[in-house]
Amino acid sequence: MQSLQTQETERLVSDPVPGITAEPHDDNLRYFQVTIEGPQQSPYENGIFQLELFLPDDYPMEAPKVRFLTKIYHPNIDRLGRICLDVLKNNWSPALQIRTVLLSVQALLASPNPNDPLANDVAEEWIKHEDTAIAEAKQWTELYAKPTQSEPQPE
Amino acid sequence: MHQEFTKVDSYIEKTSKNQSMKTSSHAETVTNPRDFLHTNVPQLADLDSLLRCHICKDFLSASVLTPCGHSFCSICIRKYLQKESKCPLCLSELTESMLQKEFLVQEICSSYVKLRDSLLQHLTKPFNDDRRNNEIKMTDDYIEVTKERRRTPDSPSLVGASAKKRKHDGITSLLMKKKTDHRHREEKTAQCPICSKYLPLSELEASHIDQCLLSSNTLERSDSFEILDERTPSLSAETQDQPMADVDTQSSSAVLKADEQKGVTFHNERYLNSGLQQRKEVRLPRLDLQSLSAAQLKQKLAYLGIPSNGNKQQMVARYKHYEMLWNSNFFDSIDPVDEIELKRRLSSWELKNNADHSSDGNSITNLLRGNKRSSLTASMIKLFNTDRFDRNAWVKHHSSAFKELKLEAMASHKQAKLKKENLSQSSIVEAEPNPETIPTDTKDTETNQ
Repeated sequence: MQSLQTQETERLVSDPVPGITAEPHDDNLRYFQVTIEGPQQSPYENGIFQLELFLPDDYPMEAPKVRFLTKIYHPNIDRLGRICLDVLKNNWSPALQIRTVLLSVQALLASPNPNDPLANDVAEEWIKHEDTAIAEAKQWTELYAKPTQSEPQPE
Repeated sequence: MHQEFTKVDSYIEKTSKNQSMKTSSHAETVTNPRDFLHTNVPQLADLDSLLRCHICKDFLSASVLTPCGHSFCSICIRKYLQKESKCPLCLSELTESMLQKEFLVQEICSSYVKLRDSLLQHLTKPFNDDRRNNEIKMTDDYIEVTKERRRTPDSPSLVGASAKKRKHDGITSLLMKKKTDHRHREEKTAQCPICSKYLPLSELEASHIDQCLLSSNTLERSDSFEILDERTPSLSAETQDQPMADVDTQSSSAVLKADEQKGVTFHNERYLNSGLQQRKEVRLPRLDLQSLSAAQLKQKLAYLGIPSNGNKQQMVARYKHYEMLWNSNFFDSIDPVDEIELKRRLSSWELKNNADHSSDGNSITNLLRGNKRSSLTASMIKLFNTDRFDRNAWVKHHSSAFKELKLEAMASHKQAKLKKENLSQSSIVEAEPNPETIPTDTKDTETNQ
């Protein structure tokens, strides 16, 4: 376990995924501070979203816990930042890694799935008036995920 | 903690603080397929990844094969299958009974793991020479090196890498000689004939060889290195880059010859003979643990010789874990360890999982006492957490205590002997007018004891 975690951390640091950063917390190496850039051509473009990721004791037998800290208007992410994503729940496999999970989260931003909602109001809006929903999402991104206010850019 | 940094800095050049940490933590280094990306044969990263378990990301240990064609460490997959019944890679249905041992992969892996360090060392060499040429125009020794270097074409990845490293060149790098013993060689370096590490010549001559001779556990490493030296023509050509090293190696090769020859075919032989070995084919039964009463469970655990304290839930967990260890060891591994080692692993697991419960802490100590290791220290117990308890380290750690004990024993033995002699002497020379000798001597002995 120790070795596994070290390896993953190491890879995250040495070989970062474009648009994603993940840094272990100084006091608790199981706790990661994550940022994900909003994918291009999505309503979240130009936003930088803060997340927290926690590796449970049983990792990798159990999925890591991931939560959005930045407010986001998304049918599969609720008010508390919880994420509805198959690989974080039933479809978790120990062969997955932190980086693959974060990539999935990024992909979820690129393609919201209102048919399997977590935030019901958002999903409803998304299905009924997609345009306004997207506009809303853009607005939220502008409001809460602005790089300057939410994050002092690393380096 | 500082393992976090051990290898990270081999890709991203970090601060020298990290580098010193690297040298300080020899205990357990974390390897990564990307280690090969900066060598002459970056494709080896692919092979390196293939030999790893997708669950723990480490090299396959006692690998088993699934019907869907995937390999995992026996322990890793068995642990996962206790929770879910599917293959982690393809999600097809899978249960423990479907797992098949595969000795060949096991031996390929362990053979590769032994070779890995020397492979890395050999394959990164030209790149180091490159750096040396750029900054240190050396004496005669290295003129050869320079020529050699010109003949070797630069692969594109190397150019990038060396450019990145170049900022370390210059005086500072010369000052940091010790930190770079593994891959980065800035000073005039030579290979230690014993542990096959590259060290600055001055240091090597002054102290290192002596140290090396003292620590016997480094011998194993040099085995694999020697093998590579002689069996792989393309690689041994490269060794000529290091005239000093070559001389040393040759002089020592006679010493290592026997070990070496055993080492070359070791895994092959073990693989071929695996059918002949008598194997302890007693699978621990899968019990319906929940239906057993606590007392019955206790009995089962006691029968197996593992601790039977704690509540039922703890006992169930303990049995499950032990069953897993047992089956993966006696069933899947080509090189099974004995039961005592299994029990040690069990206690290490329990220590990690029930660290909060003081009662369990006691049971572990008791278990270890059973294994004749009563003088546990807290620091060594911590090592158990990694499940790679280092016997040599243990021996080293306690060598001083052992020596003390030995001295003490010898001293008291001597004293006793002296006392005896004195007594006999005194009985002989009782008539002599020197009555004081006897009482004082006895007193001394007593106080010393």
